[in-house]
Amino acid sequence: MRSSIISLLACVVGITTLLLPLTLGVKEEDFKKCSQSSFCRRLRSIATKQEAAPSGTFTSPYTLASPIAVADGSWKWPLASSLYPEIRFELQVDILAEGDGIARIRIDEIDTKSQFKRYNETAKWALVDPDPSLSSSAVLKSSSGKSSISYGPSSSKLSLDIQHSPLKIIQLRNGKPEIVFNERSLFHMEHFRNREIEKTAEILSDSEQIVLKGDEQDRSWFEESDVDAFQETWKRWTDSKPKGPEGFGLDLTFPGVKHVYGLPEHASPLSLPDTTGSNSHYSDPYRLFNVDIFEYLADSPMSLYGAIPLLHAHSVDHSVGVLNLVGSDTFVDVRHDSDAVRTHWVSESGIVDVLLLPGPKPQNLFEQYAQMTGPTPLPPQWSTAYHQCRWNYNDEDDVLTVDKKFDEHDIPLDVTWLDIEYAADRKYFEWNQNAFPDPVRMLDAVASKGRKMVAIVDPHVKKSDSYRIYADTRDLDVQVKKSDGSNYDGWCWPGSSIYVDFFNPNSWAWWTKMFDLKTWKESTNALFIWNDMNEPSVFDGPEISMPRDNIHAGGWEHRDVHNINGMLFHNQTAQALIARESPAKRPFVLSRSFFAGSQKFGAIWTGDNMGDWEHLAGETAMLLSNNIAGMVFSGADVGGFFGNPTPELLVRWYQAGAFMPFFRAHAHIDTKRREPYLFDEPIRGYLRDIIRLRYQLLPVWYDAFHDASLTGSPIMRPQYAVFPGDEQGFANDDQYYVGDSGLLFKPVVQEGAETAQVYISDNQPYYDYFTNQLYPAKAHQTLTLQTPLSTFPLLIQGGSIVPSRQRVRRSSPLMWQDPYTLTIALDKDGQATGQLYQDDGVGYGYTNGEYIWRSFNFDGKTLKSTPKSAGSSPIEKGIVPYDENNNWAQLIAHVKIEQIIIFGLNAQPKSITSDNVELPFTYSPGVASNGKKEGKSSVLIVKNPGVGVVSDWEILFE
Amino acid sequence: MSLIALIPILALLALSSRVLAEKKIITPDSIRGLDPALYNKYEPNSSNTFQCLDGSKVIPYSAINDDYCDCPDGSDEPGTSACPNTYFYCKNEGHIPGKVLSSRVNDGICDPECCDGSDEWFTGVCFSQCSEIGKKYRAEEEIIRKTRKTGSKIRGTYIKWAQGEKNRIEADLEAKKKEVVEKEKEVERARIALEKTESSSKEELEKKKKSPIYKSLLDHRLTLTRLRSKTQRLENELNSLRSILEELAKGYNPNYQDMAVKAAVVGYEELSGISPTPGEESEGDVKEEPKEEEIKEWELDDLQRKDLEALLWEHSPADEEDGDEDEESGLLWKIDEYIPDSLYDSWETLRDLTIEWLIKLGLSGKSKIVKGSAAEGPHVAAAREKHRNLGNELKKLNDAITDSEDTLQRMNTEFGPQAEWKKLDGTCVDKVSGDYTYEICFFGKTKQKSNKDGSSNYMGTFAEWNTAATPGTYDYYTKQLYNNGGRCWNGPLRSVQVDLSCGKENALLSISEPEKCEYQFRVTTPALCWPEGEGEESDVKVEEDVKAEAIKEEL
Repeated sequence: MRSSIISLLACVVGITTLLLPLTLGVKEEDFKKCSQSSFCRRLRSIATKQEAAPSGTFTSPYTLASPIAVADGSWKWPLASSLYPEIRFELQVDILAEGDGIARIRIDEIDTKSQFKRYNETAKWALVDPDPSLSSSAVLKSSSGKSSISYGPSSSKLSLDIQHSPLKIIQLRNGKPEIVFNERSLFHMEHFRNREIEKTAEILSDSEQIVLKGDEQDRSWFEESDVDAFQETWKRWTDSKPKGPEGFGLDLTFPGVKHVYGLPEHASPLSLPDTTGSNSHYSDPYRLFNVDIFEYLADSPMSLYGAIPLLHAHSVDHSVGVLNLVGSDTFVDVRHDSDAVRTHWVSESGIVDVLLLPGPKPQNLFEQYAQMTGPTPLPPQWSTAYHQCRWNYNDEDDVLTVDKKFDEHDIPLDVTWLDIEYAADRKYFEWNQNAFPDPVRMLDAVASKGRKMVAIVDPHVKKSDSYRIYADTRDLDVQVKKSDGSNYDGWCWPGSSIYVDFFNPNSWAWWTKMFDLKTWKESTNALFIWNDMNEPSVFDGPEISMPRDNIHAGGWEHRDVHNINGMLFHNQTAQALIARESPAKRPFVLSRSFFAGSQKFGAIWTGDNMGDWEHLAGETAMLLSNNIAGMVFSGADVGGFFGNPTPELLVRWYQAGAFMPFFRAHAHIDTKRREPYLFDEPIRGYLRDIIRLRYQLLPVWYDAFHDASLTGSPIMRPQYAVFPGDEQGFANDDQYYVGDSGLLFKPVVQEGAETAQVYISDNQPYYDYFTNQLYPAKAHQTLTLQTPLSTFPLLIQGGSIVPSRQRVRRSSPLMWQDPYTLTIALDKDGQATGQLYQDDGVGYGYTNGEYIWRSFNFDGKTLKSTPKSAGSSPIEKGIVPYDENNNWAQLIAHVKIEQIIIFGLNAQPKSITSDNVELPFTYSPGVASNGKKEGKSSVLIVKNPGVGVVSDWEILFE
Repeated sequence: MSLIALIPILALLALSSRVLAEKKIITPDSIRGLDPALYNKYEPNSSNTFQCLDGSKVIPYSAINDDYCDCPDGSDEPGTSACPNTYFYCKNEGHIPGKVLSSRVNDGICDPECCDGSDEWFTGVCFSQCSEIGKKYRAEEEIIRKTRKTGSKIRGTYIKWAQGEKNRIEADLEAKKKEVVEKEKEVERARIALEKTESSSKEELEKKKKSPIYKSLLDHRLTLTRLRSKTQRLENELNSLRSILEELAKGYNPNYQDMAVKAAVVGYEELSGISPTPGEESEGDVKEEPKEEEIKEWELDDLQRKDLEALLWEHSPADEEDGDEDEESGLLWKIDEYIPDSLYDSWETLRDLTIEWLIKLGLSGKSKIVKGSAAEGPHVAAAREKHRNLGNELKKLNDAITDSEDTLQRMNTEFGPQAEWKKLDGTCVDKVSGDYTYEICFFGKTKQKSNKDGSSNYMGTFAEWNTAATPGTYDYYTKQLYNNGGRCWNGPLRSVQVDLSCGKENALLSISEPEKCEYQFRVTTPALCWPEGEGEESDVKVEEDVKAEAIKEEL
């Protein structure tokens, strides 16, 4: 981008000497590396020292005293460090009642003489219940030098062995260690220190060690001296650091695993490669620090827009997870050793508050995480359809023309988006009157076809007294403050801006009111919201964000809450949309920044990607990583935000996008227009077919969202999550299953690719969705599929019943009473199962049982539709079951199954009957599901079987 | 749409739909949604079957409109949404018949193309609005017809005017061509006279050139030339840099969160003395304090142009008595004769100004100056002057001829099939849109002028008609491209695509910018109101005031 500006200008004036060496893409130097960050340098160096020390000589300075019971399931241990004997720390371990035995480990400095307090509210924002109820069955046994807690459901036999000196905590399942805390003795918590004493010490000490006045103890074997400890200058910004050093480092080892996943958001493989040691793929640790990054690298541990401090460790026989509830800047080193994966987490501030998720399978981890942070709620059904965005649709005419063009080309569309240019001078809520003279008229016109619009509302507020939002924040005193207590202003889209402090509860009711349809008269209930720039992005701030010594409500520094900040904004906007209508409708809010818990408030996307093949390829792993960390409603800008993709790349991007939970095309203002109708055939036809396929498969997507809302299951399911026992699939991150539908998808991400390879884990036949080519059952096989531009790998796993709607309307809400098709792909035993969940798609009636949820089962002879109910997992408790006479079910009582297609029967049935009525069908012979050779499967099509989706029925095949 | 309100209707229809579907259809006109033009293909046959229109399949006749897609081409379901890509035919009594895509059938939306609501036979949410829509449609058609009629009359006057213009130019051209022949002869005579006069004074000059001072002067001149070209190069580079920065400062996109750009802009503004306060847009002129030491451009010109040979003449003893008084101005007159024709005009102005100035300062005595008093003697100067004057006249004449020929050529192609667009050549229309006033001058330039500070952006010059269409066709004249405008910051050269249609007035209706700095104008003009029966009349695009007048009539 930047180079092109200059080179174009240079061409104009004909001066070639101006062409300076320029780099494309991200300005890496705008963001800190570990070595440029004082706390990371200090704390990471402990690992370097440990590695350099002769084996067995490096010992943790931390030791525990005897435990003190706090409550049932909760104990405390006084914790001391030999480095600073006078400082008191405390370890608290809670065993939670829910979640199959989740242990919570907290460490804080207590009885400090300092005026400061470590930030301890991350749990308040991230957890559904910041003080989860405790297990009454956990038992602590303590003998000299050792404490041991037994807990968990009877099947799991979990225990926590706590070694007092030096400090070490081991989580075991059935006696086998699965998580070790402080195995390498890297744990460290920097206590609050006196700046004056330290200053003197700095002067006295040599470069390698701190020698405190009156204290001859040499701590340099563990602590590194740091001139930046109390004030840190980076580039042109100085962080005043009034609290001085307050970082902490966690040492977590996962014995017996070879793969760790998680820590989104990074443009890195799903199975996280090493950042340290001899096999390191990256030279810097994975960083969790939400930033507005411009043209990010496609393979890098650099931090991006979101941060979920969750890690899964997985092996053939077990899965465990760690959720580190910390909102400050965090770096994580990963190292694979032959016996374990070792991780080292260093954070700038906060208490230690870690949840150990026991697993033992990936699905348990998803549920345990969802129990703690909340599952993603059912989104409005239309938000799972196609979104068309661009920076910018310029005016009303532009918006309505795009809307019309989609109709003219019979391409479905649900949502048209407005980026920042809709707002007069980027004063969100205020429309640019020249371009949008009558927003309600426009919104009504769009809504007349069942469509919606989304407009952007960012967290920065133009500093202008005449701007209502600004004046309100000033009058309510809900702006983020500078370290001196005055209101902070930074530079963003509107120029000089203030930032609403959503940590301040006084901002909440006010923000809700801003979206009230009576307050915001130029909006309607067809308008939804996009929260961008909420890392927060500040163009003239350090790392394009806010100074860390800024102050939020409660006196907390920005450094303490940085990664949580964007989630609160997302949350408040979602609450405002729920509140604006009665009865309430489901909100839709897209956020760019996210944290653990953000999944409760809406969707996120992967930010400002590039329109190139490398970024297309990278999206899958990024989205899989989000999906296993609960942030299931995710997508990437289809086409790539920057640049002009070739038609081939655009088609491939749409193919990928149609299989992302959030499916939105978006483009930068400098790009050529690329709405799908603008292309010539065959490209337009390809794009149209892909979008229509998404609409046909919307029932599958809604099922997956429904499952996610109940159990926290990923919508995009990576190989390891579906087949946790198949080691060959553990590193696979370029293909995935859509929910539990049995659809296996792989995006084609290579230019000119004529074939693609799909890995099959299980011993089942797979069927090509488009050609019904049957690939016979064989575990651990790699299939090679033909993938000319018109197609891509989409397979149905044998044993699946896929519900779809073949009739595609202009928008998805218009399809509510259209018939369904059931596609049955038989497993090698000739059987299959599937499900269908439907509700009104917009309201909360489903929470009162107004929905239908059907289970389909084919046993080789009979196809049955029976009611489905929530599973047994604890998280599904409280789900209101439905009966067939609920309002919604009555409303769709006439909705029929128009077609049943069965792939893989081994012979033509003599007759097919329903209620003793013979049903018409056609049969074309082909390979059977238990066949051994590849070829077109047999296809049976039952026409108009005369059954609906609401009631029970049976169809007999004889 | 209220779902609740629909329940009773839906339940009722649901019960009856299966019955309806199985009802035996007797004649094609009872097939829902079927285009009457296809009735003959849907006649029932003796075997009670129907062949899909693409011939791919034979299905039971009862499978027509049974809400299941049997035929790959969808021909069995003209009246339902079962097959994709087919159309539902609406009779639209009271209006013209229409059709809607099968995906619109029973989607709960009342489409104007199917104003009788027949496509919503299941949802039942639509009632016929055809008489109303039909009335409105006919009124609009009438307005369009009227506009086209009025427009084509105006267009008639354009054509007539163009014809007159063409005749005038052609006549003028003839006359000028004759004049050229005469003038060429005169020029030739003057040239011969000049050559004769010149050769006689050459010999003496050669002698004087041998002096060392003359050689040294030649060296000086060479050095001066090199120095000037270096200065020029540096100035060009400086200007280029300045224009880059000016362009950056004017057009930089604050949407790039790039503080480096911002710093560059602020730095530039400080350097060039532009107040950074927004709204106080400066012209970007760099204030130049005239420095005393500064060498004037004309002084250097003077030194360089000084005719050394002429000076040699000057210093011959014979001339000394002429005195100093007239020296400077005399010199100026001498330079006069060596100025190439192409520069003569500007030189003349400079010279006269200089003389005036010299007189004012009392450095030169009088304005009466005898040309050629020094160097060559008046006879040579006079001969040269005469030759040059004649040459200039001839050139002007030839230029005029080329112009006329060019215009005639354009009138046969570029200005439309009947040269009707000639009338609009140079006509400008404008429109205020947002913060800018946009202006387009047909066949000339387009501009975007800020309503805030009067600054203006050049958006392009006429380049071509619709190259996607065949020249001469109506379509060809419905689009114009104006390109190579000013460059946008971080963007392309501005360009405008003009979509033209028939209207009573030449007017710029709307401006849009679908892509950065690539604009689209909608313009109406009578020049596109081809009368009925001319060209592909059905394709004549009429716009302008249809909507406005329709509203008027509604009121």
